[in-house]
Amino acid sequence: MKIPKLKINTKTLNWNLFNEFALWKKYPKNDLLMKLLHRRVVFVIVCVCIVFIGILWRLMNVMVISSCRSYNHVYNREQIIKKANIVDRNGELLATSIATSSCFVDPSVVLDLNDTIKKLSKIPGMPKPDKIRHKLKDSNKHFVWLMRHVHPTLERQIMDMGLPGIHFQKDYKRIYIHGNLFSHVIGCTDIDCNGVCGIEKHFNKELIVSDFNNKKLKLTLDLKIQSIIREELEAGIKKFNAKGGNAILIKTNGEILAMVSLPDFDPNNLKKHSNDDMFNRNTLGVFEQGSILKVITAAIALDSGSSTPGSIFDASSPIKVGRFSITDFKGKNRPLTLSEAIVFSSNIACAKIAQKFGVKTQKEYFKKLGLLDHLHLEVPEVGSPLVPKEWTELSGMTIAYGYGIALSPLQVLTAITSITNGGIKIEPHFVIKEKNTPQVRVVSKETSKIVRELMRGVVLYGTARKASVNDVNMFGKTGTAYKRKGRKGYGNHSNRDRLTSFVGGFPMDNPQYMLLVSLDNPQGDKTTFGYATAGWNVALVAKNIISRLVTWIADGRVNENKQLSIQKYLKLQ
Amino acid sequence: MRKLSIISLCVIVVFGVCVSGIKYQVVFLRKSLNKINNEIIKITDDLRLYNAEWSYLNNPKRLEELASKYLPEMRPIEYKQILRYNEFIKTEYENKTDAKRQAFDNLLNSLIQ
Repeated sequence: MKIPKLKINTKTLNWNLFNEFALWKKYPKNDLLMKLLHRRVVFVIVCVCIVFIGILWRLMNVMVISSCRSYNHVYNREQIIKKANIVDRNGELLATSIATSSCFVDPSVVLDLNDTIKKLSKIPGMPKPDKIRHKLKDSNKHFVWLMRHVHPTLERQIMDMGLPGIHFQKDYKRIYIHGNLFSHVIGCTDIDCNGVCGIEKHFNKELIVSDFNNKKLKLTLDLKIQSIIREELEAGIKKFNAKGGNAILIKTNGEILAMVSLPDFDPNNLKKHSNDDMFNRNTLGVFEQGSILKVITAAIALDSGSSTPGSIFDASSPIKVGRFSITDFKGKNRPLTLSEAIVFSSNIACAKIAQKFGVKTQKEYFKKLGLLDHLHLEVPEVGSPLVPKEWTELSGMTIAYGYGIALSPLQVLTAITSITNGGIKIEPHFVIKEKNTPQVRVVSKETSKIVRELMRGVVLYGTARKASVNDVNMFGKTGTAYKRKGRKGYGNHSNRDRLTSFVGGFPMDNPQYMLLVSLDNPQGDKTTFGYATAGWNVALVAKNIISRLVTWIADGRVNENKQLSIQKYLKLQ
Repeated sequence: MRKLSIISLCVIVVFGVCVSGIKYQVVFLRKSLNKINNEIIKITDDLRLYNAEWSYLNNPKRLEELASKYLPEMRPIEYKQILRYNEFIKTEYENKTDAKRQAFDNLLNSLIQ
């Protein structure tokens, strides 16, 4: 059979393998057709191989290379809390987050549990073997924290062991540079950097930011002033053998410069502290404040117009109401002017002043001064005031000299500052405010001036003489309150606990700074002739604080002692 | 038709190679970027640590202890030692002799210059 010569024109040939196969079947001996067909089969095989190589490469990429990023699905970087720095008013660092490593285990990968536990527990600083076993016992788990915030040396030691299933994750630890110094204000965080108390808790959301290197929270506090106040308060507690103490320095616009409450705690190491150490006496503690509330009584009497600085009140004998009697400590036993009632701290006269302006007026002014409401502050530890359910005439009389109402020291300082700063209500705050809030007047300018003069009189001639700092035009008032012991009342003379306080400010003509210092149950000694009242202990602490502060804040100094306008109402002999 | 197919195939292959090349270039660049970012994070972490350490070293109590140890002849300034300019003129300057005033003026001028 003769094979017909085929004229295969590539132009006419349909580019289809099946057509060629059909032709090849028809003319199996045709070389040209075979060659063409062979070439095309090779081409198809090459294409298939390329596709397979591509698929293999992708498979390797997914299964081998990407699998190196293991545990990212378990605990990725986005879950690590990064918190911004907290700085004082001068930009000094108070709290920051530093990078550490945390060790975690994948128990499902651990080959020999006993060997792993044995090796790990040998390293000093690691948890006990029982604890490690407890954590690793469930082999179905893929993620268990073994140790948080591991020291770099420890990390190196664990890494060198090369134990399977043990990994490290970058983490951040919150540290408080100055330890105890700001513990009650700044507070602390849990192990995951979530705020649990203080400013850390209040500003938790605002502090957690992704760009934590460029953000910071600037407080009104001053590191140096806080340090001075804590040092002097600690010395005072030690000297007078007190249970504790607290102090606040505030600017008359409401900025809190320093706040110390002792005992305190180290937020870097919470394990060794009790709950008592965590108690912020300045904001959470509510106490009957004693005679420092007489300043408020005088302000109400003067502002409401019920009395003048020269109004006379009979303090020659105790007031008897039912089974109660109101007496004076070292009283003058004579009629006193309002000015003398404050300067000599007469309970009897103050009760009569309150009787004169009445319960309704007293309640109105207390409300205006914010003493009946919960204080709004940038820390969650704020105590609500304990006020009488029924505001009777007797409760009004006792409140006039500081009993029958329990207030926090910051609340009292806020109220007295609002009176002495010219009569404008302040709102204490820890964070510098950008916008000025509208001014609310609580007492007149004239009342404010007279109250300051009355308090200056207390420093010059009254119970706060020991707080007087030479050349400093300061004013103040002391207060000694017996502490209630639950239902037992105040106890008898031998076992009464006292709270002694001093509230004052400077300079007198234009007050810029207000200070409140309290000591919890100070004891009398030889130097105080056995007395444990405020004038003998807390006044000295206040003097030490102010004399050191004036070096920084020179505004309080004076060269001349101006004659007080209330001088004529004081019978000093 | 065949020519067109070959050209199309070539174009596809060229583009495929180019895209693949770009992809791996991007992967490489991303790796470099990650490396640089990690270095930046490490440096900022170190900076945070140094800042914390610096603040710790500047703790007022620590500085006070160091000052009392190494500068025993120096004491903190007392408020009495600080005078306002007006007070100084009134109390100190006006009571001085002319020679002392002149000496003080010279000292003040040299300080200003």
